[in-house]
Amino acid sequence: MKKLTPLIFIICCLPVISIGQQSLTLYGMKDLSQAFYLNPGFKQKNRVYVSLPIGIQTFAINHSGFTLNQLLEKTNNDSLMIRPDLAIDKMEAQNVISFEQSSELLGFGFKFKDKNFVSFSTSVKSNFNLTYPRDLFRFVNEGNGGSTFLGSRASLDGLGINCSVYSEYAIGYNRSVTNKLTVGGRVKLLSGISNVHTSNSVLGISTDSETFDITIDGQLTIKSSNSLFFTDTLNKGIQPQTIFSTAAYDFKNIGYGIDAGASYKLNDRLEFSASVVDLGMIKWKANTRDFESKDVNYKFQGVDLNSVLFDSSEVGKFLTDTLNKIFGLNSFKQSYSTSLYTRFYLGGTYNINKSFSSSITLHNQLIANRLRTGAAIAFNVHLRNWLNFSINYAAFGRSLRNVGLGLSLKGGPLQFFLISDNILTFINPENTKNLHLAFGLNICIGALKDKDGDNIKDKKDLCPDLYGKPENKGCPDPKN
Amino acid sequence: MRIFFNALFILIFITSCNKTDYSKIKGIKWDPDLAAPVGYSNFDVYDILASQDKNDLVVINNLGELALFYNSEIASFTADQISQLNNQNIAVILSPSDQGIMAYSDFSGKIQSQSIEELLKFNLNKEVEIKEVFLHSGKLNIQVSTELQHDVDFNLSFPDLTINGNILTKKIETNYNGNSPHGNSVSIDLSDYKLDLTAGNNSERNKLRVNITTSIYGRNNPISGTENSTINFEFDDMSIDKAFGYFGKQSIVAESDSIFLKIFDSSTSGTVQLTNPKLNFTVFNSFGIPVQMDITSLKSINSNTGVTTKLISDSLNNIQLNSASNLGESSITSIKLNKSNTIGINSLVNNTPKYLSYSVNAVTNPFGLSENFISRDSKIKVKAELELSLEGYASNIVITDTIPFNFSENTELVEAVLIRIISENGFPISFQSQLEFIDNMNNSLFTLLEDNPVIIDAAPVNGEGKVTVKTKKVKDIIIPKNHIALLQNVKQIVIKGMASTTEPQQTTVKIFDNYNLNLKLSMQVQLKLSI
Repeated sequence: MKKLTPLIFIICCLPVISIGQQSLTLYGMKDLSQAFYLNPGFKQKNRVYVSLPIGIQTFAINHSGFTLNQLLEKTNNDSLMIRPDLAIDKMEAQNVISFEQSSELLGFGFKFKDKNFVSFSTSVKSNFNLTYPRDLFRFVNEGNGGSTFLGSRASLDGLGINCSVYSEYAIGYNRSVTNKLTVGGRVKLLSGISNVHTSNSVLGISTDSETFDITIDGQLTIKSSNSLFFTDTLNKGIQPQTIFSTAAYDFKNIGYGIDAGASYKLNDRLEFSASVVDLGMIKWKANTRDFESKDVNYKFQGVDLNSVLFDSSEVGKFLTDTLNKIFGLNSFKQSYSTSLYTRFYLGGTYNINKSFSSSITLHNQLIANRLRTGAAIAFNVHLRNWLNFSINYAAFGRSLRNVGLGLSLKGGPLQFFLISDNILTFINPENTKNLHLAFGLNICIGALKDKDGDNIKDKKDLCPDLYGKPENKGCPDPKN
Repeated sequence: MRIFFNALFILIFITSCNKTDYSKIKGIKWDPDLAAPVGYSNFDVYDILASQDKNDLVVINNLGELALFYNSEIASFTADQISQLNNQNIAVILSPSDQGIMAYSDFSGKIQSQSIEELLKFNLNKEVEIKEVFLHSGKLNIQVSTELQHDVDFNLSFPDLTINGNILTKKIETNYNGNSPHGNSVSIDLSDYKLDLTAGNNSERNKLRVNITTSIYGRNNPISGTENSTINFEFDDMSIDKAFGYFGKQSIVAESDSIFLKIFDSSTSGTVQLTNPKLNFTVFNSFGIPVQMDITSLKSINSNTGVTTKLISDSLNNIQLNSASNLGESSITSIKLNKSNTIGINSLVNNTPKYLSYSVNAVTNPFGLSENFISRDSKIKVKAELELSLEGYASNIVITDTIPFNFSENTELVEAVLIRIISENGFPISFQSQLEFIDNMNNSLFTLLEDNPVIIDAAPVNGEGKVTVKTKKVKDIIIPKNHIALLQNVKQIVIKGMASTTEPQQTTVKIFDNYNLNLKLSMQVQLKLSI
């Protein structure tokens, strides 16, 4: 068990957040308290919630390049052939493999004066993403001497790793401004635990079509803070907890973040919402180490034949000196900042009746200077206070094969929920690019009852058993 | 809404049915092509000629035209060949009167003779007449013997045998021991001695004076008055440091010698017309002797074909070498052969010879008596230089070379190899090539470039034979898979090249010092990593 403790600790407490996480399903399940984290403008249903003992745990993997099946081709004799060229055709110029996990350690919120809601949460978030250009795979697959790259530049620009681990302390506030409009926001104080950041990555390999001379151009800058967390824990026996336990709370790598959102109920049927999440940055100062290569523009023309003819021992020295000259890294310590992966949500809900609704959610995220968009259309079921079910079809991460599913069950004060943005991953992983799973357990106290489902709580509903509009104080239209 | 659910259901159904059986994966398609530069170089005339032979001398005239110098230096004749001093054995008999004796029945006193002068005449080779010689080394053995039954002292004095100005004197004692005759001997080291062989008279030669006195000490034995004494002078192992006189008319022959022409070393056939070859002989004579010399059997030899080419007049006779003016100096005599004074000199180099061969013989004092000197270091040196002005034309000069080859890498994954040679040639010489791959049993496994294609094009020249512009050529050599598979068995590669000057044939070209060749080697490899 002792051996497992660090592993459990890493998995549960030091999660990694994916920049590809959309949480489209969770956004549509507004009755869950954690939907507040995606849009602080969502009106809260419970008077008090406490996300204990496990809060919300999120795990996501996204690969924008290709699926496993896109790498395979069925042959005439029913066998399969690995065809990297087919997968390459499916890639974009820049592709991302991302791995994300977030773990809420503690979260609670409460209403006061009926229209106000305050929340507090602390969580640990982490993410790892590898950005690779299509040309990298094509270069390996076809070589530099094929028709694609002979005479042109293989662009490996953008190749790099970005990974962060940080703890988040958030205070949220939400207020119903009118019966129709609710606005809210969260202010987040962040403590960076560890970061590796490729701030500049330009690398090109060009092969001259006549002489086959190889020109390498590029520049690389990698910044890091507490990078031992990622690199040396196995080699030097440094326990991740050691770094985590200090960096998670000492705010040497301090950061700030803001979430803001609003929801507007146009009428009994239509609701709209919008939010911006994780607008902020972290200033990395602790144990920083930057590596910067020289501005490389080197042409390899082969070895000087004269030196080979007359002294072949010079060849090895020549190559060593040349490589050192080209790729020698400068190392220095300097603080730097990284932005959070800011997300934007836009949602619309059509309430079919008091139990059924459909919704559309748009999601945008800025990754590597590129706007990545996702969208989902969902059907939601609300059965009183004990069941909340949502199923959606979504397009994101360059994949049209996403079916999201969300389920929350409430028994007494306990509310359990299980959400995935793509359940196809668990059915047919070889055809999917996105894996996402979130689950959690809440204690919800004092949920205001709305037996007739007219969105007017029974306490203020003059006709608590009859569906009615707010202008009739929850009673049916007397004209009808 | 129903459509939405139907679509979702279909999507989930299709997706769940589309399961992949990874055990059916049988291989991978991965066939990359790699291309890389191998090497580059700029070869100028010095690089190319230096790779031929660093000992060759490349000379440039004021126009920048190049010529190759091949030379051979021989020390044809040394002092020992001309002036050996043979061993001398000279006996002097002292009569009773020379010893100043008369008859005694019982002699116990002392008789001191008068000093007598004897001339030791050296018997030298031929007409050699030496006035004076300084010995580097040598030995004088003197043996005395007397018939007198008494003790005798022989006192010898050599007024013309000196060292550092001191004359050589020697006293040799004999003690009567009951036997008659009785005697004694001494040995004297003559190193660094000077011998004046004029006997005090400048007209005399080869004669060394010695003054002799005897002292007889009576041993109470009789003297008959007829007893003689004998002195033997043996001059052995004499080596001259320097000598003056006349060393005669001697015929001497040197062993034949040759010049190795490295530039044609690798060539096996072809035609070369170097239009302006020059052959120079320079003779250094540090003897104080006039010499008449003949250079004979002047010919070039192609050791591949065995063909020898003689100069039309293959002998240079009666070359008069003046004597050196002073010791340590040399007289220099030059003989220059070129196309203007020697018919057919071009033919010496027209069949790509590897050697230029010649013999030398000489006669000293060809005109009779004269004043000579020699020293231990005196020599007649003949230095031969062949100057090949790189001017002319050539065709189909075949050059072959064999290089060892050992390749043990796995070549199964290699589908084909392309070797690209990019040349920018500033020389008016084209190069064709062929590569033959040989196994350890000397069997030919395969040949690349079977049709002997042009790898490097010759640069064009103007009317003066000078290159006007560089010529660029890209030549690809493809090694197919079946040949690559054989590479592991290859132990030698025979490179066969053929060089020709700029066409049309017989266009005269010149090589200038600013010519150069840019050569670039690149390689493209087709791999088949597919399983």
